[in-house]
Amino acid sequence: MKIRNTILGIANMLLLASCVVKSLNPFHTRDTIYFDKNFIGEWEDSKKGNWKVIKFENVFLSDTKKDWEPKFVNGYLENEIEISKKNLSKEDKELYTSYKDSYYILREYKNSKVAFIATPFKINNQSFLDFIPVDTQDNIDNLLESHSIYTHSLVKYDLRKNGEIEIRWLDEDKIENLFEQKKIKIKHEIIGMLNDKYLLTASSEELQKFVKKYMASDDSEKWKTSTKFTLNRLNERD
Amino acid sequence: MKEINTFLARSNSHNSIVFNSILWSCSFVILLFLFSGNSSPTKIDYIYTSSFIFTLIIPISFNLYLLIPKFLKKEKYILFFLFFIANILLFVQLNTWLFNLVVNNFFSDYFFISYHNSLEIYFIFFIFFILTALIKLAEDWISFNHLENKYLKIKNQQIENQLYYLKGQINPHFLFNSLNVLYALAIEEKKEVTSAIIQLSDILRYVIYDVNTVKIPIQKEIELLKNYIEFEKNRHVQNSKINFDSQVDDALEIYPMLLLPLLENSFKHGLKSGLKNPYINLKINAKNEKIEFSISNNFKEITNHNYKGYKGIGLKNVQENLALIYPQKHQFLIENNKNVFSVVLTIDLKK
Repeated sequence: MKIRNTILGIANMLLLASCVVKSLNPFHTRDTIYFDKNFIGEWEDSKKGNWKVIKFENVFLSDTKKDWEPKFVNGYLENEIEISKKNLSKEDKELYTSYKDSYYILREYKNSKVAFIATPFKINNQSFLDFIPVDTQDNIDNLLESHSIYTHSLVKYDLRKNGEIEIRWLDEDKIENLFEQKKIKIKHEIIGMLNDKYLLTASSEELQKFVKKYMASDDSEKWKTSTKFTLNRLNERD
Repeated sequence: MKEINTFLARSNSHNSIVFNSILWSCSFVILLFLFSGNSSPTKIDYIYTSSFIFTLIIPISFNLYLLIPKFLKKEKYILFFLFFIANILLFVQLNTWLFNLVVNNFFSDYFFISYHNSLEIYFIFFIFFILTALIKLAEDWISFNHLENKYLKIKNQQIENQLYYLKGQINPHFLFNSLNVLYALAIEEKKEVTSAIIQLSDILRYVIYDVNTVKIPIQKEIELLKNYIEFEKNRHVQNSKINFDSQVDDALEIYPMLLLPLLENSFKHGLKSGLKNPYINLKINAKNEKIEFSISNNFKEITNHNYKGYKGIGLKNVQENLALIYPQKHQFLIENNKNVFSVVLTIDLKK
């Protein structure tokens, strides 16, 4: 009985949690990647969450130089490093090639820390970020970790004139409506304990086709979402 | 032979509306299940399949109605192959554009994402081109086979007709009676004897020579009827009345020997039946590519019991000829009312 209640509790918690569209494959393709240096720095959102954004290769390569830590002054990264890539292993080279134009984002909110790799790309002159979480917890149970699959999410990225950055996740309600009205045909699976979540399994090319079509749709509230942040560079907010 | 071939070419049974309706209905069902994947088809699958079919109709029709008849059937295989491939390549490239043209105008709020990639479009186009070409060739083969059988039937019927009239031509009874008539006229030194000989000669010439052609000007057929009537007048009851009314457009042509058996029939079962005042009324109206022929005669019931449900060789032969030569283009009505037998034949040459 206790186990049943626990499972239902988790299921309800997931149901109430804000939902974004999840995909097994990234939303970007190599030819659409468009790296913007302006996003690198330290940011604060309206809930006082702290966002540290650096180029992913800095973090990845800093593993070979143990004493390097990113240092931000007035919201800007001060100690960017350049390390030779010659001695990388085959796996590291693959990782480097895949994410060399991505950001590593560390968000600290209250006492929790979450890290993401975000890859910037552009479709029809609109900037987006492909978010995928990365594991940063050292003491996570191996058995739990072996059951985890991280998914990609789509974030609309807008740099405002006052220097603010607004990021909006594509809300799951939007795609759920399309599925319910049978107005979309895209590869997907229905997952979750209550079989109520959509996981897109379409290829990156198909996902981009979807994004293009979605951008051109008549829905005036297509980017309305419960998951959005307005980021201010740390010194500018102070 | 040449004329029969021309007739057969005109009688090609390919009905493009029926053929295309069946072809595209089957294609729709096949593509619908292909595009639906593992799930049962939903509204979006129906829309997608319809729009995709639209992109296939133009190149497939181009292949079926231009490339196959112009090149493949004329044994220009290399040209056909080159245009066949070019057609596929061109319309695969145009597929996305044509498809988007349709969906953006009519189904802009639908998201057709996971259907197929460009390689699969090539595959679908290639398979459809091959299958539809094979279906069209099979249909042509069936049609050709049908026409060939029809041609053989017509030839057979022609031979039967020739035999039938050859038999009539050498029928001793016919010749004996004819010669008796001529003899009687000659003995009496009647001036009609010369014209009677010419009439008999014209009838025999027509039966021997003109019956071999596929079509003959309707005027010639009318001349035959007139000669026959004039000749038979010498043999039959003197109180008989024969009315022949004809309004004819010279340009019309008709299958030979279609009308004579009907006239023979009226003489044989009407004028010869022993009536006091027998009559035969003939009427031909031939204009605007339409021939209306009617013939009626009175007869004596007792001696003409054969008229009840009558299907003599002559009438049967005419009906078989009409079914072969003017299928779906004629009406043949026989009426047998109170000692009056009538036949109405209408042939629409326009159809």
